[in-house]
Amino acid sequence: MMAYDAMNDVDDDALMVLYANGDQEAARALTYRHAPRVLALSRRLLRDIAEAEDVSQEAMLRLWKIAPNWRQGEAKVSTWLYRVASNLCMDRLRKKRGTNLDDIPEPADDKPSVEATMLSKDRATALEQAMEQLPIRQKLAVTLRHIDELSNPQIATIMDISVEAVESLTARGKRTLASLLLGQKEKLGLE
Amino acid sequence: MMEKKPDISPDLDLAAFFDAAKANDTSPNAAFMENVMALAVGETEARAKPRITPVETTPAFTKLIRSLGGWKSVTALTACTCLGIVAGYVAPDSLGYLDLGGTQTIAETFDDDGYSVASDIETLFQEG
Repeated sequence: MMAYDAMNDVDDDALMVLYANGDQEAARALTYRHAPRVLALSRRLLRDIAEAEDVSQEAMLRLWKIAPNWRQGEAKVSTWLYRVASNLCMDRLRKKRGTNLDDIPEPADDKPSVEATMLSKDRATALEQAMEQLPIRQKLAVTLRHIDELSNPQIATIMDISVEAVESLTARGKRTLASLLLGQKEKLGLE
Repeated sequence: MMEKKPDISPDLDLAAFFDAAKANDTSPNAAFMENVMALAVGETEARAKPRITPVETTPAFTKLIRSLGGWKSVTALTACTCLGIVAGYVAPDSLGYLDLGGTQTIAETFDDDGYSVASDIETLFQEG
């Protein structure tokens, strides 16, 4: 069994093979490499840390389950995980938005908090609130493109749409965000 | 004349917001990471367990009982066997009157002198 540090240079496909053969250090390496990003994406989409952790754990569990049948070179582990997590998040968001809007707890970030006094924090909070106004798919596309910094083809694979559709979604999403945030520029030190 | 859309350059305006969002990403807590790795261990263990399908094993004794027709038949058979053994050990004194005098068989006795046997039985009844 290889030590965790020694696995820093091992690519994801090889780690999947190692894990499928029972190597827990490979699982550790995959966890540290991908789980934080999956959690961050889920948290941005769901705005609920407990739900985001649930979704991220479910996505990682699905990765562990598929490891013995993982086809090397067919998909990137990161893209696969983003896709699973995105779908799980979108399912939850659709349920929330579609049925019980009143039952959705108000995001904690809506309230003024001590931590939110920092300018950077304020901007992040303002962005999150504006993102809430976007349709789910626009929100996902903008998040993947501009916060997770994925390429349009990667996003197209994750969302199972064309690259042109990704470009359209992100453009419309950014236009809406810009109009929503325009009035806060001065307050957020962007004059 | 086409109406010109307001000149909003979203990339420029939003870059600061996206940077702030990235900067404010919180690291996952240790418990979450441990849970994910525990799931990995659990999945490995689940895969390692041999999938045993239960095989019905019937003891040889049960098979023997079944081949003889079940417990009822075996009980009846045992009872008959025991009676046979008892009958074999207990001396049939009451058959003493069948003194065949050596070579004569029971069949021959009845054939030759069926009446004498009958009179002997009457004698026995009379003697009580």
